[in-house]
Amino acid sequence: MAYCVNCGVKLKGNPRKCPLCETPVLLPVNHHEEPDCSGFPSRRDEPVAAFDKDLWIKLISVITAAPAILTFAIDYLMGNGIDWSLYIIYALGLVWVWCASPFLFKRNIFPLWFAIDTFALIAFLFLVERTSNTGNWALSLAMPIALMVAVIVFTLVSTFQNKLVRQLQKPALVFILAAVLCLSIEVFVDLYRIQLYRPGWSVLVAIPCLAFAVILLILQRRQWIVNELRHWFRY
Amino acid sequence: MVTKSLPKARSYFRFDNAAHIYPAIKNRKQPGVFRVSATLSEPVDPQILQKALNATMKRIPGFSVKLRKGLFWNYFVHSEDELPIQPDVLNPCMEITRNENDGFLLRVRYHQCRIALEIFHALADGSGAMIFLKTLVAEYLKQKGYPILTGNGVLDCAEPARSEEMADSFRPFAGGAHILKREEPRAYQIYGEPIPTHDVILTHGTVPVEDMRRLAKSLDASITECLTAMLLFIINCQQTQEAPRWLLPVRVQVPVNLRSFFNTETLRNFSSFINVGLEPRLGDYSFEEIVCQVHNYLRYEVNEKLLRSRVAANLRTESTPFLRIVPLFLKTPMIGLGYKLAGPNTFSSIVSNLGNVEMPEEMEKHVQQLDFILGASHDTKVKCAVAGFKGKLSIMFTRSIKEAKVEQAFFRFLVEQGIPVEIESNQE
Repeated sequence: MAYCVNCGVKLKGNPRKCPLCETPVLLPVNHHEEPDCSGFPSRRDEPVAAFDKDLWIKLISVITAAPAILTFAIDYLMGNGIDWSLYIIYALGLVWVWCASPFLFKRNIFPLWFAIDTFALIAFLFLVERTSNTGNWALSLAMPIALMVAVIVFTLVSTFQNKLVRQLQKPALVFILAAVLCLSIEVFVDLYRIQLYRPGWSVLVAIPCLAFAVILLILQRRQWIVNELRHWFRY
Repeated sequence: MVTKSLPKARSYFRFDNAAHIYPAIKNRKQPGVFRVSATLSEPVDPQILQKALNATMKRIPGFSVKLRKGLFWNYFVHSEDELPIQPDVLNPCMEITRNENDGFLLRVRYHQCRIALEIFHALADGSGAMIFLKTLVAEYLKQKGYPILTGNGVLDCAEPARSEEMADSFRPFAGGAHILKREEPRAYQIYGEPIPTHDVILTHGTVPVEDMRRLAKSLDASITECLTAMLLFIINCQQTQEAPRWLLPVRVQVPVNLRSFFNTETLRNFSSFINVGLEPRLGDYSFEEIVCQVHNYLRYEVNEKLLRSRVAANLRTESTPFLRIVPLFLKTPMIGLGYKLAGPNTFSSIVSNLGNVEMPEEMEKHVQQLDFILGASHDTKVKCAVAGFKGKLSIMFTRSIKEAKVEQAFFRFLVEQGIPVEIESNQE
């Protein structure tokens, strides 16, 4: 039995540090070698997965496959060959990949399923371009925009998940990335249309976004404002 | 079979007034589960415990129920299925999901010498759960061959269940004018870095009841009043140290066992809540001043007439024609939103004191310790549960943040008052 030299409380069991102040417990005789007689077991109660992954994949497969088959059949029987139904089948395929990809693997590996989703989106755009025969827009316009959106979403999610930003820095990051997205969309569109970048609407959107971001980053430095917001929003 | 002696109509139970809120606000961050446990003087035999649990569930059919959703309200359905016991865990009082336990709303756990009951608050309050636990432990000891008598909250499993034990006691005792103002401005909230949702940090302090009583008596207050005042004092100091631009009121919620005022045998929910606090904008408070304020406030609030009125006000909300005709799938989010907006903001923490737990003498010598744990909540980040047994006061802090500032100041304060404190935690 030991006492915490900082708190003055008696410590039950053989803790290595005081549970209140984390002061290390140093004993002349190493009592930590004794069997653990702590009142708390080591087994943890893990959350029960209420969500059935297999059932979800089956459900989403049926929900997407049924209209795809129906559309294909109607297009084939009513029209002259296969025409418009392909667009719907491509879109339903994309929906299937987006809904099922997070649950295809045993572990939830966000970068993996996000890469699959991005690849599916690009493939969808290329298929639409090929089927519609409407020029070379998928490679020079749609793919760069899709990739930029993917990079921004990935940056946002992984930054939040890894807690690299906190409190007001989070909305500030959202505003900064929104500004970057708008600017890059205009760059890609201009390069596709006139092969030259002319700053226009995106600058008008980016300026207020960046201004909001700067204001939020300045507010973050004022601790009392952060505390007040914490009280209000209970985070 | 005990349940056969019950009228057929009792195969389902209506929710009592207090129970309605819990299914609506229940989630992984707010499981609405609490726990009472007894540590015996010898290791628990799981097979005998399972038999004892089966007998106890038959004796107290109000706990052998599953939650069902009706068109307008939730209700309980009696079930004769066997509730399997489980080994204890490091993070107790986690959410009881519908798939778990075959739909039962309680868990019985065991670890070394301990038997623990975790229960969803819609089913019962602390006093009802303690009677169930005592009956379970008594039945366990009986099956082990010890002669155990009933009384002091221990029910005899050989007797049939009584309808009074499953009665909704709120309605018969509600009365008086609805004069109570229910709106309270928001209170200071303890904050810190949140721990993962499916986790809980427990800090268990044990102090001698006599020393605690002596301290309370020197301040002309009860133990509950003294503990509440200590928590208010510490949280107020914490707020002052943070030096906010606007000081907020500090309030602690104190559950009141209505069984002390109204004659009832119910094992279901029958408690009310009183928020007692201080207003730091009026100036600095000494600990003695806070004790005096808490003592006077609770003496004013906790009396039969005001409690009746408080119950009546709660029942009036439930009986509102609009709320009655709204289907459950709309009512549930409405209740949840109403609670979120008005509930946890009005107090900073909770002190729930079960009081001194008594049991028959033959049983008492086999039980070493009794503990009471409030489940973690990410709304009320620090909670305190207290129970007295065999001259020891068990003070269990539950928190959902990493920082142990409140507990540290609380137990240091006790040490400064000359009260020896023994600490244990579920953290490595």
